[in-house]
Amino acid sequence: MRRLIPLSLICTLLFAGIASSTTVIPPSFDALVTGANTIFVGEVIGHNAIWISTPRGRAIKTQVTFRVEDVWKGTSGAVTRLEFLGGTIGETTMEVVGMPTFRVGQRTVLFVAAGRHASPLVGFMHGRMRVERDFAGVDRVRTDDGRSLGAVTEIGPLRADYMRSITPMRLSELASAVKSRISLAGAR
Amino acid sequence: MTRTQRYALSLIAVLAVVAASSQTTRGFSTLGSKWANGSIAMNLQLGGGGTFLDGNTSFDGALTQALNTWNGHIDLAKFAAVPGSTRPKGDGDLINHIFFDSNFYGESFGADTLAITTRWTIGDTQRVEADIVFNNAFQWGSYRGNVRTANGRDLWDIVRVAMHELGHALGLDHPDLNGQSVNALMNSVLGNLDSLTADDIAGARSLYGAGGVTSNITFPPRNEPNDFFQQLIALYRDRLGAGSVATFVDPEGAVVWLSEYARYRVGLCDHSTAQARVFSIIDSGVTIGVCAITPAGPIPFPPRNEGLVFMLALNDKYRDGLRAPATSSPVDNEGAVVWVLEYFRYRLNGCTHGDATTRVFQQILGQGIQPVCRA
Repeated sequence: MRRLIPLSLICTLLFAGIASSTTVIPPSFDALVTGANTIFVGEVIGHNAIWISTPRGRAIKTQVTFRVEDVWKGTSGAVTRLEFLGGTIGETTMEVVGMPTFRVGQRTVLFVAAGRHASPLVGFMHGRMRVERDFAGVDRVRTDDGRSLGAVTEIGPLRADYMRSITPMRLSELASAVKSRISLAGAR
Repeated sequence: MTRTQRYALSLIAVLAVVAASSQTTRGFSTLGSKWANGSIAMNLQLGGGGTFLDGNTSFDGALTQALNTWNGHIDLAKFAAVPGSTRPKGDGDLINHIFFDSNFYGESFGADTLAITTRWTIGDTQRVEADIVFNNAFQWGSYRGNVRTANGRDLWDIVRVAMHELGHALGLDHPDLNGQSVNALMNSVLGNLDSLTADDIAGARSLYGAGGVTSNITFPPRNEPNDFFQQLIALYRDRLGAGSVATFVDPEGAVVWLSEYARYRVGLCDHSTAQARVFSIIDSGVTIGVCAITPAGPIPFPPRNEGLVFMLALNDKYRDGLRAPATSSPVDNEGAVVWVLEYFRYRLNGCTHGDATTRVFQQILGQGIQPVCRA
């Protein structure tokens, strides 16, 4: 944890940027992996929105149910459910700006934080990566906002080359990087 | 040059190359919903914080600055800052709040989240509530220029973060995450840019701009046409022996809205546009720009028949829309519109209040149209 604070500071100074909105300091790949209690690949199989009572009124939450394909860190059942603040009930929509949204059938990698947060993911929206299968049948990875993720080193504050069109990395490459990072942490 | 500055400069250079080679320069992006025209009250509940680097003396003051910055560029809806508001903070209550907290309505922010903005909409398009909660676990200040640190920690400028979040509250999205490459505070990365850009402003105006421009014509202060109208009433009553007629527009309303109608007409709006904009002001309280800069030379005025159509429509609006009670006046609607517009015509063409009043009264008393005071 001690290392993360200066790292965050250096990143801020180097790239002079924070991602928003909702305004979030983008976590690095290491911070995503170490900050996650559970990391899994899943397919959205359902979602529904509910009213909840809050200490200061009421809000809407969307419960998203995933069929878990693969667990990279922590434990998870074959089906798991996460709650995201915001959603639509009838004509009323509460949108939490920047909160990831899901459609049934989407496949995704989720870095799930421990505890109860507005977003259950590490780094709000940054802890969600989209999985898309290319024409050759290879699963590839995009960020929550749809950018191609070429390498795990691109995770974090937006880099100078983030607008370039690149081939997204393979899901298997991301899995290897995550597991390698977990092994490294375990070795320490 | 420090290492940080060298990094920043090389980053700017690379970004410039990327931007120059980009094919996407369309501009702003919107979220698909907007506020109804009118005032958007924002309850500021951030409190003080001492004197900041930019001279602001409270966080509420800094937020007011951010709100006013947006207000300077939009017409149909405007933020109304309520500093020091004591309204109970709540989500889903149709009241807009901006405040600091250690959590977001009971939910943890998460380690890296500086602020969360919510938007409530009805039917996908009508915005009805926006709340912004700043995470008080971070160090906040108010300053211009490059991103700073203080006490070995990041120092976050609340004004630029707020302006970005308020842009979302208005209905703007991130242009850079929608395939566009523009310089904008609404881009997904906040950094050294500390002000709205032309693209941000164009986006806001696409939602709330009246398409108008600032008039280059100065109308007389309102007390003067009001005085003219009172003298007109006396003239009709005492010299012309006019009897009272029923009207729903009181004298002050007649002067105010005929003045606005005239302002749009000399700003080259046609009759229907001018009437629509005046009625929009009546409904929303938000002033809208005129249609074009008035060219040099004699100032054009609308024909009387169009002025009368406006006056009759205004009478109907007062009666049916505003539920104004009937009143009586010796000056009928036709007299009001004809002579008030004549008064303004003289005023805008070089006559003083006294000169214009005299010339109008000479016309009323059968001495013909008088020359204006400026060739």
